[in-house]
Amino acid sequence: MKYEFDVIVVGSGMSGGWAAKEFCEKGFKTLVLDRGHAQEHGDYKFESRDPWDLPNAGKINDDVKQQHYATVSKCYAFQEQTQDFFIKDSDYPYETPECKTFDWIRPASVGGKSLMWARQSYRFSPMDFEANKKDGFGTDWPVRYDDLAPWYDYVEKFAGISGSKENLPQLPDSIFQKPHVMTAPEKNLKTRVEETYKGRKVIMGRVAQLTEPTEEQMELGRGQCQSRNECHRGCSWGGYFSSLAATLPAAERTGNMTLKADAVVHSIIHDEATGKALGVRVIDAKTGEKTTITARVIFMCASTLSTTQILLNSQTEKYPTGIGNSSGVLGHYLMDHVNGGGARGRIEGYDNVYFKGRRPTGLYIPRFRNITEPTDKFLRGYGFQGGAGRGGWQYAHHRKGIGVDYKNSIQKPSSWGISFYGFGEMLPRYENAVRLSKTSVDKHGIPALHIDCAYSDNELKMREDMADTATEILKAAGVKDVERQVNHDAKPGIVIHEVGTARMGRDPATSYLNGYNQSHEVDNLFITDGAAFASIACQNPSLTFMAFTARAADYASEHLKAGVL
Amino acid sequence: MTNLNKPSRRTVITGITALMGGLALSDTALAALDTAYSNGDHLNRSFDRDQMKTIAVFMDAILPETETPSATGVGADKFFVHAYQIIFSAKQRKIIMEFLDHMKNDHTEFLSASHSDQIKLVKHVDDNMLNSGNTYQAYRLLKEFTLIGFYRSEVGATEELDYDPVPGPFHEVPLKPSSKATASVIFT
Ligand SMILES: Cc1cc2nc3c(=O)[nH]c(=O)nc-3n(C[C@H](O)[C@H](O)[C@H](O)COP(=O)(O)OP(=O)(O)OC[C@H]3O[C@@H](n4cnc5c(N)ncnc54)[C@H](O)[C@@H]3O)c2cc1C
Ligand code: SF4
Repeated sequence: MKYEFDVIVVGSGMSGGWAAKEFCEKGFKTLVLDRGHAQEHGDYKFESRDPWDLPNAGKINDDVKQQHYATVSKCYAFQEQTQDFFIKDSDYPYETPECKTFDWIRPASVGGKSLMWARQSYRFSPMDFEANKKDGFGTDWPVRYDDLAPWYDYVEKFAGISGSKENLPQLPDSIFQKPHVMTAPEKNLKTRVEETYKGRKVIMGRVAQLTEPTEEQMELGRGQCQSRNECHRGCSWGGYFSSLAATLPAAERTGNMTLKADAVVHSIIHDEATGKALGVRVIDAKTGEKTTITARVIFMCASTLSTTQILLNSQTEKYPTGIGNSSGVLGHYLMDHVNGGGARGRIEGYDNVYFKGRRPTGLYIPRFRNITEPTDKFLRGYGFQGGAGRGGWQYAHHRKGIGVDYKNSIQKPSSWGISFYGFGEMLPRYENAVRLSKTSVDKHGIPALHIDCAYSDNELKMREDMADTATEILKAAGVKDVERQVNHDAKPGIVIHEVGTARMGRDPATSYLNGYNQSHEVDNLFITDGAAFASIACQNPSLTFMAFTARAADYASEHLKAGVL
Repeated sequence: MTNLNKPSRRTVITGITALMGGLALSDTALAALDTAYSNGDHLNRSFDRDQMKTIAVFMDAILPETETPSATGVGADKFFVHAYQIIFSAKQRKIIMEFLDHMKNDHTEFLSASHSDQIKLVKHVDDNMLNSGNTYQAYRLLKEFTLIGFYRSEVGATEELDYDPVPGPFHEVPLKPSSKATASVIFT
């Protein structure tokens, strides 16, 4: 059989970019398919536009939001400047049971969510890969930290992560470029919190942003971050890591990549005779034209739920519920982080301290619950993200006041405020699941996803604890007017860290993938985005998607070369 | 039943395009118009002269002229018209129109009143701005867009505040008596 490509990569975002780079650099003819519209690096419509050059001052009409962007408009980064990067929900509907919201935030362009992400990058730790085994929730990961550690090193050197070395067992250090700096009140908070609580650390947020660009990064046209914090619009300087700025250009320069935008993957073709995946069925998003494309290996990187939607939609006589799904676990064990618990307050003093630039990260408090400080209230734990700053005019309209005094007061920065909010680990549960809708289809006729997912008692207790400990931390640091915050309305999905639904495991009867992100049943099919996760830990997951993808691509390459695949 | 008084979408668009100085309309703007149109609520009523004056009085009471121009001095009122047409939802347009009607019908002397009486009234509304009710909701929207119109204008950003498009690596600096707050908004 003559294949059109060696490898097909579905999705060109955070994970797909890595698959493309690795295969192209190893000499394989690689086709990257993305449903999104074309987007060239360096051609970001709203980048560097002055505030007075934004036609709608960054706003989007509420009626338009309700009609077409009902879900994505809940994401804080959805604005006039980023609207083109978010999917039109009305074109791609999905269902949830009544009263069980899941906010599925999806991208609309090549580059996927790597364009708008907040770049927070943390390794999972040894205990994260052992957590399922220890408490019995979910299935044991078939990999351990040591399997992944060299791949973290590998992707970090290329992507560029800024941060500080801390030697924490629950948050292994990355290969760092120098950290961003803390302000004086933040340094004071760090000292006081670390004196009061031996097990709690306040560190600089680790981000995929270049503070000391390497030769390799500069060769790709990337440069030092200039603290504009306009990253969500796209950054031509490549100050932050996105597939468009980093992995896709690296793939492109090998001459081995074909990248197709507006290419909606409908399903995977399964060859019952060989037991392999033959290729994919694709719909042209613009013309509706349907084609099939073949390859020796398929990498699914369409992001957790889109990948699973495609797998569920790949039905044959042998696999009536989706390709490779004899175990029946496909679609199950969906997770996102739990958030909505934290605290905020006002810092007295430091009136003469201000800052220049807009630091594109904040502070991080690594997990202490059930590590240095056990609790019997819930399993696992959470980390905090936050920071201190002085507000400006954008908050002044909430304040009473008119006239010269009011105007003059806005000319000065307001006093220091501080806040921290938790990101907690959600347990893997069978009942948190997705399936294909029986009635609803998207604009290409592809069955919509039905998502049924809710936080359990464990997550809700964790959220309350986040609010309690954040309050405690701020008070211990001498913060004034501390307000405990709990958002009971925060539902899964909105943290945009969805993982699970095609999990890895040791036993093919209870998992979809083996420890190399390879389908137990269809050996040339790999899932390397978040769908593969057996648990979620409490760290932001994208760095781990990158490491798994690079590792799986290396494994698949060896097998391609050896003729096994 | 067809409403014969309803202007066609075409007329509406022409009207707005003229208003915006012939600027081409974005997809969002067109979609907004579609919504407005399907709600039957829209631009057969834009602002009349008195309503524009009322808006201007409120805006300049909130942000008067100092060393820099007032809100209307940088065109915040014109931006408000644009916001009304393009950015506001049907519900927001309704409460703004009701507010302006209320000013016209229940405060008939407002526009001819002395400057200090005008300020007194605006101050009264502002003092109660956190109250519920459509009047205060309309006022909060007007206040928000007064600030947006002013501080996002070139003068507002670069003269009234400190605007630095490419600040370079983040670092601490002392706040001097002459220092101004940054004009930049995160995620903009
Ligand atoms: C505002 C925001 C902030 C975030 N902040 C962070 C953070 O600080 N740290 C962190 O770790 N994560 C963060 N995330 C999450 C992060 O962006 C995602 O985890 C990551 O991008 C997922 O990578 P992916 O490759 O799985 O999917 P994506 O990057 O979304 O890429 C998937 C691609 O597949 C394409 N696709 C989908 N369906 C199909 C189909 N049927 N056919 C063809 N192509 C398809 C999509 O168009 C897309 O381009 C954030 C996300 C957002 C939106
Ligand atoms: S903060 Fe850095 S990465 Fe973000 S837009 Fe600015 S230069 Fe680019």
